[in-house]
Amino acid sequence: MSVVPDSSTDASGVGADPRTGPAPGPSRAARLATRGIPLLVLLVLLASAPLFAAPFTANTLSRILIFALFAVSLDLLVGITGLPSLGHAAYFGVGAYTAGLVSIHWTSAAPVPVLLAAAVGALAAVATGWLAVRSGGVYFLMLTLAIGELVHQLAQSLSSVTGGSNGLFGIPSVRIGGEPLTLAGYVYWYVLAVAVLGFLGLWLVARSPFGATLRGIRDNEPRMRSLGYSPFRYKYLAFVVAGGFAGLAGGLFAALVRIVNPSDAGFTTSALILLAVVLGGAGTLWGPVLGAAVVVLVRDTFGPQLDGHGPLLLGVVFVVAVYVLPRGFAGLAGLVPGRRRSTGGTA
Amino acid sequence: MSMAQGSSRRNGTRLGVGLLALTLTAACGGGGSLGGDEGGGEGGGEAGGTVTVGLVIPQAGVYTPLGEDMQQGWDLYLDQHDGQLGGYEVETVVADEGESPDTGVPAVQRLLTEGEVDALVGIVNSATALGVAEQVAEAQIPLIVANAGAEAVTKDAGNPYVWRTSFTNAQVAAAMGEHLAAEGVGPVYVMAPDYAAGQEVVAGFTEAYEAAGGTVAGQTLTPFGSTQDFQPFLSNVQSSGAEAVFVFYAGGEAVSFVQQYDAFGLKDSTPLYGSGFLTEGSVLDAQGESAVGVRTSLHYSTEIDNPANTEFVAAYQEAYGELPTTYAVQAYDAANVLDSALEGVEEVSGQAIAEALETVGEIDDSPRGPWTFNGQTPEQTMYLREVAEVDGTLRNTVVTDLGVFAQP
Repeated sequence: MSVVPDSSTDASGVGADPRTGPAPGPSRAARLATRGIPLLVLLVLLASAPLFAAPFTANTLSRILIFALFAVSLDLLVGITGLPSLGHAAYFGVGAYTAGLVSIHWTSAAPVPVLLAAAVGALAAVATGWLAVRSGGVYFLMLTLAIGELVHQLAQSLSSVTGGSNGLFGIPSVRIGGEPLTLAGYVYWYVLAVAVLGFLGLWLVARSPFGATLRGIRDNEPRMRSLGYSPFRYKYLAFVVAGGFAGLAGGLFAALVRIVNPSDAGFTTSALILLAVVLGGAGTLWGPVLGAAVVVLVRDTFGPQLDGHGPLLLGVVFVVAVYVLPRGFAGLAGLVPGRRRSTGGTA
Repeated sequence: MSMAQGSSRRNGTRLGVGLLALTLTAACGGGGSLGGDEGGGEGGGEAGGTVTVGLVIPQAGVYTPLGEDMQQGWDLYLDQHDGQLGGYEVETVVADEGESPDTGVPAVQRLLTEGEVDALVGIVNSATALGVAEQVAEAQIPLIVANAGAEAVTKDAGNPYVWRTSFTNAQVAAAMGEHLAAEGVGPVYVMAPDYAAGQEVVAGFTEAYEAAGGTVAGQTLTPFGSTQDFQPFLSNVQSSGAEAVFVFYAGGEAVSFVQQYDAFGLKDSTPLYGSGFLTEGSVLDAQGESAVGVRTSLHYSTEIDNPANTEFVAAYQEAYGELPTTYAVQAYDAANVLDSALEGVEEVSGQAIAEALETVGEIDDSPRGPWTFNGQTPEQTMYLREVAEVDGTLRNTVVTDLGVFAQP
């Protein structure tokens, strides 16, 4: 990590830093248009997908959205705060189990299960992050790995609550206004609505002064400390926020798949989502969305049709991605001709 | 990491939008996912004279050998019947179940929602079976589970579309429980891995064994999938005063348990009994001499003496150059059951097949001996098997049959 003034990392996103240089009114409006219009088009496209997409496609898109939300929540830790976690699925799993249990034993009326999933995911992060964020680097990796395995083991052995290795099955469909959502298209809309709100939330966190502080800690923790910030508090809060959004994604997952099993909280899921973040480009928020899309498409859509070579294809994709796209899909954006100019720092 | 982030982020958004839109348009075929709540219910049938079956088996991961056996059993039945079931030409669509529901459920979902299959066969993992049970009912496509042994598959999560041609964990264990109590072998120590199937086996065994008057010397659930050294547990067995041991292990754990049980010197003093998966299939070769004399209960053995089995074993050996396993028989019987069901079906649809399955009655030409559906899962003969060397290979010889057992 190079030591670069903060303005280079966050100024353009906020658009309010006076040091950014020539950023007068008109260009701001133009920028809003160039960024806003494609986003709007994308949203309209996504929202209209169920009208022409087959049920399996709608299901796949739902999965992609859920894993994308999960990946972006991890990106808040990995890319923005500089804390690579190998146990982020713990909070995803906690959220999924919470939503499943709430739906089975209490109510599946939207959005109660997902909100509780997010709340309990955040609580789990409050309980575990206090210990985890005191460390860094490899130690943080090991601690989060241990937390993930702990949750996995709990899910496995508390079989009277979680169903053990048979999984928590029989989760009822989400209900909106008393009507159960059984068709893939309606479930997709529900997932889309919650996921978009989730993305928005994470984006707001990342571009807020809080997010800027996290980047500062990532790039130069001693300096931030000397400026009077408490890195522990900021990292802890980031960990909790990331856990909450992972829980939200888990809640959606329970609503979509309607079975939760211990491996959803385990190492494989954690590793897969970390790979999605790396594949997409850590720290960009949008990159991990693409990473998650690739992971889901390769594993769930094309994988089962490959005579057992699904995991192999996934492995090849990762190896190729690491060599060809060292900074993930996000790195590709820097290659667009005429767009290399950076707002600060050295390119 | 920090350089050029400003502009790349802006470009990034646009690139991201472009790529996502591309993925989206590429992924969208025709259709629409809002209409018609019968899902794939009407797929395939109108083609006239063909039935499409989705075979969902593990092709990657630890269960791959089971998946291969199931595929071979399925293929063998079709080869023997000119590729037809009940007069319909069969088209098989194979999907990879993988190791867990994370891969198995989407594989099934895809087959269901693309609306091409009329029936599903396969599923090794119980969690996957439980995860898709409700979805197959919603799509009105019958699922014939050809392995997964969790009781809930045909009980708590059961519905008219979920059938099973394999076994239940407790069924296999209960047969042995009754047998050991009747034999009066003395106090029995019970061991199994600590996960759902292990717990069901222990519960099924203990209940049947104690009900028949046996006493349990002790019980241990070992950590699932991470136990390589069984010695600490085996010394507990030794000090418990047990006269016999009953265990349930499968795969790699079965190999290391049986070998360590022998190496620990318990084999001669305390006979080892187990659920049949302890010595079934490829694990038996890996166990080698250590397995000789181990007695297990199961609904199948290659050594069952009946004409259907003799013919099946010969045909299987000729086709694949190896002995069949219970997994192959379960898939073979799934084809057999579909064959009978389809005979009475006038127009192929998932619903029609599910209804026809109700009337299948006794399967009298199964290699495992005659059996019937009871609660949509087999009520079948359990065999007491003992590992012995036959013609230079280790086999599960049949000592006796233990009677007919239904799902407990």
